[in-house]
Amino acid sequence: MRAELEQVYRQHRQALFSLALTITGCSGLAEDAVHEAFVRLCGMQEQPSGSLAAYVFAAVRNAAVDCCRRAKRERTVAETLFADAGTSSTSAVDEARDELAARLRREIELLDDGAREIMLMKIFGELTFDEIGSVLNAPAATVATRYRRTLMTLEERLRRDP
Amino acid sequence: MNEIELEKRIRELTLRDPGDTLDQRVLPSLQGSVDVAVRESDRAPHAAGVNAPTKNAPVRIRRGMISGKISGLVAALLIGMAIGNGLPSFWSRFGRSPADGTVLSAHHDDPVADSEFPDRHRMTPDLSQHLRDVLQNRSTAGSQFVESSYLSAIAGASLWERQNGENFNVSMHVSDRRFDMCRDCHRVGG
Repeated sequence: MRAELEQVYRQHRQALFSLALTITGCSGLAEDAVHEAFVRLCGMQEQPSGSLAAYVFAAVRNAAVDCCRRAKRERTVAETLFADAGTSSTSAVDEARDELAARLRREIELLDDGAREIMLMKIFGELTFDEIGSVLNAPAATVATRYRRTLMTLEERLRRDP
Repeated sequence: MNEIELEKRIRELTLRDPGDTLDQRVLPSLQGSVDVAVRESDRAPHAAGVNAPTKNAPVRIRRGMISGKISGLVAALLIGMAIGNGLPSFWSRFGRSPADGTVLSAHHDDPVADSEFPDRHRMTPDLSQHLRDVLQNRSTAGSQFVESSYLSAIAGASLWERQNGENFNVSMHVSDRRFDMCRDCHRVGG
């Protein structure tokens, strides 16, 4: 069981940390949440039915909410979710791509909490809509609709503000 | 840019790396090399700072000030009540009425003196005529004194006449207003 958990951690550590960071808004609390979640998971005797990755995401999300409640913090993103790409590009094409990436990062961080969580789990956690639905206790169709609506919103914002 | 392309662009973004500290905390738990219990000391130091007391300290100070003010108010109220209850008895020792501030004479404090004249000194014929006239308000000798002092002096005079068998001269004896009566009257218990 611990070996499988370690594999999930190594594969999704950034996405798990980002999900916790989205909820807590503080990297320290996010680390606490991930740590607490894995400590609890280590105590499990039986493997959960269904996707273990989805189960771990759900555990990290619950731990983040608990940490947030303990610390009495609002669910706001106070720290950035993404690594800074830097300014190493030289060509005009690269510059345009970097600018688009920067705008995309900014727009994603301006999304509401739920939409950002779904996007993190779908794109960076590579979970299916069913798995995301099990994490959020929501139907897969609802999750899919929200995800597509979020993409449309991002696309519209990027087109509106060139 | 369609949805698929946008999804691809987002996928190209790099998420923030949690750093080695998270690995150092999580991996030992997963590899079973440490106890799995979460301790407060395991928490990240900057996460502990989120709920640091600096944010809440002013609130506690303010609460302390409010409770201190309330305690002070209650104490002042109790002290005020104690002083208020004690004042009448305090002033009565100095012969002052707290209500109107008038000075009470010694005769008002002494029931014997008040009842002295009518009970103990009846107007008997063995008193001198002059004294009888004074007692029956037929003389103006004592009219210059206030009534209480006059009556006290007369009361002492009647006793003096009984003891000495002589006529008591009111106009001579009742002259020292410092004592409300003359020294002879005072000596015989007037």
